[in-house]
Parts: sequence; structure tokens; C-alpha cells
Amino acid sequence: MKREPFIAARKPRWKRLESMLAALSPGARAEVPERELAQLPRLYRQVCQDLALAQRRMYGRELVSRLNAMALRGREQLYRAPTRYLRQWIEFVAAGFPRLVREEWRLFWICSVLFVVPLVGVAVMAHERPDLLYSVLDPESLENIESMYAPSESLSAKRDADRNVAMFAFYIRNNVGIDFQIFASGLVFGIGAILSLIYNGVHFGAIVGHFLAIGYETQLFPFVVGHSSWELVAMVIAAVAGMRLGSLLVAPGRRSRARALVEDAPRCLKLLVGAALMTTLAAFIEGFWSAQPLPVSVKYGFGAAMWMLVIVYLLLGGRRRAA
Amino acid sequence: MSERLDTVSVVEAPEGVELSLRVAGPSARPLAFLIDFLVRAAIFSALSWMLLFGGVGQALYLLSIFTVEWFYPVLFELFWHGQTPGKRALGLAVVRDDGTPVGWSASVLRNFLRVVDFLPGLYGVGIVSAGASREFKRIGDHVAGTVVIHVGRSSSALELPDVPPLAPRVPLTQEEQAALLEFGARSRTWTKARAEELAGELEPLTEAVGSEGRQRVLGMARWIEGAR
Repeated sequence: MKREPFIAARKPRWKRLESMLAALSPGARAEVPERELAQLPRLYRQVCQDLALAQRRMYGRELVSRLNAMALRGREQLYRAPTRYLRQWIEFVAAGFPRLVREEWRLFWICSVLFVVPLVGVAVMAHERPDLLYSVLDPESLENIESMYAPSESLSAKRDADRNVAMFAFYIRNNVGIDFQIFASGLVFGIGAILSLIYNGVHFGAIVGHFLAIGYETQLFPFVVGHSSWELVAMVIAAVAGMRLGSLLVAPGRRSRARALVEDAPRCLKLLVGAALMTTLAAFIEGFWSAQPLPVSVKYGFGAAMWMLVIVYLLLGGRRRAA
Repeated sequence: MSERLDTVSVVEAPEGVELSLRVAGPSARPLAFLIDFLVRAAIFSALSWMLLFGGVGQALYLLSIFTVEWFYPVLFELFWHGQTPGKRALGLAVVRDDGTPVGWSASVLRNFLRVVDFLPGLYGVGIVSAGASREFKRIGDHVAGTVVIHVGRSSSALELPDVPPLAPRVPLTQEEQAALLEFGARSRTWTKARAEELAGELEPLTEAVGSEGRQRVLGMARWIEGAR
């Protein structure tokens, strides 16, 4: 068949598909009736066939590129994965995420050690030799933190409901952002994630040690105990996600590095998403609960309960159905 | 076809046809990024009125900033068929390597890893990575398995210029026929002088140069197309 009759015979079909695709594209207002829509797969396959013929018979780049564009757009519509987001999310939070964390138990403990050892080490050091502290924290930020938790100033007095909301948002932006950064920097052979863990461990350790040394801990600890579980464990898990991502470059196994990344990166991302959810919960607690003027015993009780909850969740979540 | 010469990536569809993706190069993508950067800056300043409304306003502001900072490209790529405003302005789109639309995880991966691509500043790693890759993939594209392609530009006409068809004196091979058709389809994008110059190369076939040569090449294209 010559080019011209080929085009003439198929043009109505292409026109139909093109107008349907235009109506389905994001900006369009037009509705496509269901009966029309049922034709889409057939029209798409026909265009694929026309494209193959046009390529084979060299009907010219103009025609081929137009059919190619049509086929690509049809493909985009047809291969959009149907999703049931809500159900997937519930499933993920209830079972998928804790399972993933348990699968990575080795990295989890490595990351925990990388965080906790500097924290405890620096805390002890800052307690014993307060002068060394200034090599870790600069005096100005230390003063800042100090004034926040000074016993003379009641923490809760500075926090009304309005301020709580603002702090909640601040914590989300800050802490979830840190999770994302730890994850992404982990791609560089895991180095970024390791450095972030150590850095944060040193930072927290310095503050804790310093507050113990000057006797402000009665302010600090009741404040942080409530959200610490979710926040710290989430940070470790974000680092696990980043380390796993980096490990795909270091030790891809019997695959090319590119293949390993493409195949396993989504799994790492799931870990990060779980960590981000935990951090969000922590920010919620930190914003609305931690500064409440409640008896210290209640604060500690709540904190202990939260730690138990985190441990039980990660250890037992999704176990029954895994069997 | 000539995929080695061109920045075209060929994928095979299950429908038994090869689709070509026109990969976007190093000129279009930074421009798209610049536009997105400006759009983002505009959003930030447009949101700053929220700060006037006390704690709740501040909270909304911070949450919006957080969302825009991390999810601006993700949300656009997911709900706007792979296009951020910058990409749409330049006719670019993000798709998976096989030409299917990006999903949540691919989009989040490629955009979060901008942190790495940006190192050590101004997308240094990303530029090196894109330059070293045949499909201009930055690190985020490699990990997510995505590619940025040109879309659109499908409005050009299929019809060749209306000249009287002319039978070639000798039988032409398929490649030669294709070249003549190509000439016909593209000739409207050239100046007359350029078209005549190119047609002049075919003097052995057309036995004419200048305007007449061009007319004859177009006529043969029409004839190959099926016009009589």
C-alpha cells in the first residue's frame, strides 16, 4: 500500500484516538463517555500496528513520529497502574513496615551503635570535662538551648496552643527533612548516612552531658522523653534506608550496580517512608504533648509507654500474617 | 533506524512495536529547572502572608514550605503526566525507561536524590552523571529508572506540498524513497534557498537544479507517496 492511501484509510481512527487522548490529558475539561473509553485499548493496538508498518515501509519521519507520539500517549493512559492507596497504606503501616525493619536487623543494630556510642561517649565526656564541650558546640547555640530549658523559666508558660501548632510544623519540616537528607546522602556508599548518625549522636550527647553537668536535666528530660522513642528510632531507620541504598553500590551482588539500584531502591524508599511517618508522629507528640505542664511522673510514664509501644510495634507488627 | 546518531532511546512495547523516546538533552533540562526554581520562589513569597496569622499561620506556612521543598516535583510528575511547570513549558516529561508513566516510588526517588545530584553545588554530580550517560540521566534518574523525554510537537501536517507528481526515471531503493519522502515532509521547515541547495545534490536524478530541481524532488516524493 502506498503512503497516501495508507494515511487516508487510517486517518479517522487516528483522529478518534487523538481526540480521546486529548480529552484524557491533565488540563482537559472534556469527559470521555464510557463506551468510547472501552475502545481505547483497541485503538491503541491499531496505532501500534500502524506505527510498525509505517516504520517498516519508511513512510517518512513525520508520519512515524506522529504515530510514535500517539502510541506513547496511549501507552501512558493504558499502563497507569490501578491503585488502592488507602488499603495499601494501612497494610504498610500495620505490617509491611515493621517487617521491612526486621529484615534489616543487622543494619539496624549497626546504625543504632553508630548513633548511641557517640551520644553516650560525648555525654559522659561533657559531664566530666565541661570545657571540652565547646569543641563540639559553639557557645552561642549552647546558650540558646540553655535558655530554652532553664529551670527558672517554665517551659510551658512560653507555649500556648497557638505556639504548639507552629512548633509541630517546625519539627515536621526540620526532622522529616533530616530523615530525607540522611537517606539521600546514604547513596554515596553509605558514608553520608554514617556521618549524619555520628554527627547527631555527638550533638545530642553534648547537650545531654552539658545539661547533666549544670543540673538542668529536670527540665530537659521530661520534655524529650515523650517523643524521643519515635524520633530517635525513626532517625536510625532513615539511616538504615540510606545505608541499604549505598550498599547497592558497594556490594550489588550478582547484578550490575545500575540493575541493583533500580531493583532494590523502591524497598529502601519504603523504609524511609515508614521512618518519615514515625518522625511525623514524634513531631506531633513534641508539639502538643511534650510542653504540657504535667507532673514529671506522668511525663516519664508516658515516655516509657511510648518506648514500649515502639519496641512492640517493630518486633511484632505484621508477624502473624507473615507466617 | 538511526538511533545511534540521534539522542533517541528505543523501547520495545508488548504490542510488538518499537517506540522511540526522544531523550531531553543538557540544554532543555536546566532551563526547565530554572523555570521551576522561579515558580517555587514565587510560591514561597506568595505563601508568606500566612505568617501574619499567629501560630496556626506559621504552622501552615512551615508545612507548605516543607511540602513544596520536597514534593513540588513529585506531585506535579504524578498528577500532571510527568511534567512540572518548567518541564511543561519546554515540552519535557519524565517517564520510566520503558516509556510508561512514573509512579510514586520512582518519582520520589528521582527527586529526593537531587540532594546527591546537587553535590558539590549547582548540580555538579548530576551534570557529570548526565554527561556520562547516553540518556542524560542524573543519579536520581539512574536509581529510579526514569528518563526525561521530549513530548508534544505533533501538530505538523502530514501532507506533502501540493506539486504535480513525477515518476523517478530509475527504480529507487526503499532507503532512497524514504529519503525523498523525508525531504518532502521537512522542506516546509527550510528556506527556499536551503531546499534548492539540498535538491541540487540530487541533480543526477532530477536533471535539474535550483527551483526546478526542488520541484522535481517534491514531485517524486508525491509520486512515491502514491499520488498520480
